[in-house]
Amino acid sequence: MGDAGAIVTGQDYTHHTKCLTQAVTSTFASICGFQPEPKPETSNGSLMEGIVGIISLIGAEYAFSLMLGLPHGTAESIARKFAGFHIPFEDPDMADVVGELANIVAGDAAARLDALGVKAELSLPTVARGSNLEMLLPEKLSRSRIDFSSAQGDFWLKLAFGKHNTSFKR
Amino acid sequence: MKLRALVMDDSRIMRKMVMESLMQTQLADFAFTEAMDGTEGLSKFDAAQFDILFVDWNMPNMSGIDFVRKIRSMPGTRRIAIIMVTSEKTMGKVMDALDNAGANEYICKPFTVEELGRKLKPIIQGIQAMAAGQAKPEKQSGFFSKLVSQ
Repeated sequence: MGDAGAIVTGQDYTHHTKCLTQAVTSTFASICGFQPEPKPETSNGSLMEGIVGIISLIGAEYAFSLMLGLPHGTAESIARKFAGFHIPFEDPDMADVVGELANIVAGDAAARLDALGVKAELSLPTVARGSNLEMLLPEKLSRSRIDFSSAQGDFWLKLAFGKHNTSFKR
Repeated sequence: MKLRALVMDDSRIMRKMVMESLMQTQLADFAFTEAMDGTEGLSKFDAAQFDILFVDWNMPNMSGIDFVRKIRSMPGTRRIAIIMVTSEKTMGKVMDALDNAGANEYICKPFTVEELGRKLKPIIQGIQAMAAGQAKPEKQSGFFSKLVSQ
């Protein structure tokens, strides 16, 4: 008898990681006209000055957390591509854009996961902005980080995966 | 004829992008009203005052799909075109919006002006034809014929 709601560890999330990574490359290709390329990790994922869009996908069995981290220059460059006009990094509209980008990536990811038989609902996005941001994920979750390079600048994606233990029965 | 449009999205930037993209399609002159969620949309909605609604799905307070269901349950709203503009793109969500809730068209984010124009052209032409009293139901298809047959 397991602990209802406990996170199951040791799962293989290769396919799920691929779905979320493809969602990022597809979204940025559509919006910005470029295909970002995964690249080797070059830092610990902290942002000297940047902005992070955070969104979750919640299903009956799985939960995913997705963080999209954009350094200052990349954020302004991508926001200009997305909105069609310049948005200063400190502007409230920048948070709006990054939240919307996270939303679109998550929607694309949800559709890809759906094709794998994994159902998940989107949360509302939240956004964090500042200097020396270090976005931490719970250690007990399966985690992944992918760095990307692009014509608009470098950025990263952090993922966390959890599977609920549904074997418990009263 | 100015098309009276309600644009609903919790993102100010997305509302701006939807409105600017609609103007770029040159399908109609638009008079826009904005709302940031379903609750605000309901407070601003009047069936006699709008021709077309553009609705996001995921919003605080009231989701777009719940808003659509509410609108369709009101009298006099069948003539109003409802267009989902959303990042939700699973087949289940699309079917829920179009087959169950009563939306007329579904546009996934991100979208291009060309796609917006292509999907909206028959709908807007139908609205304009109806307003001009030129409706010939047996010769129309899509949104307009479905509307008239209800």
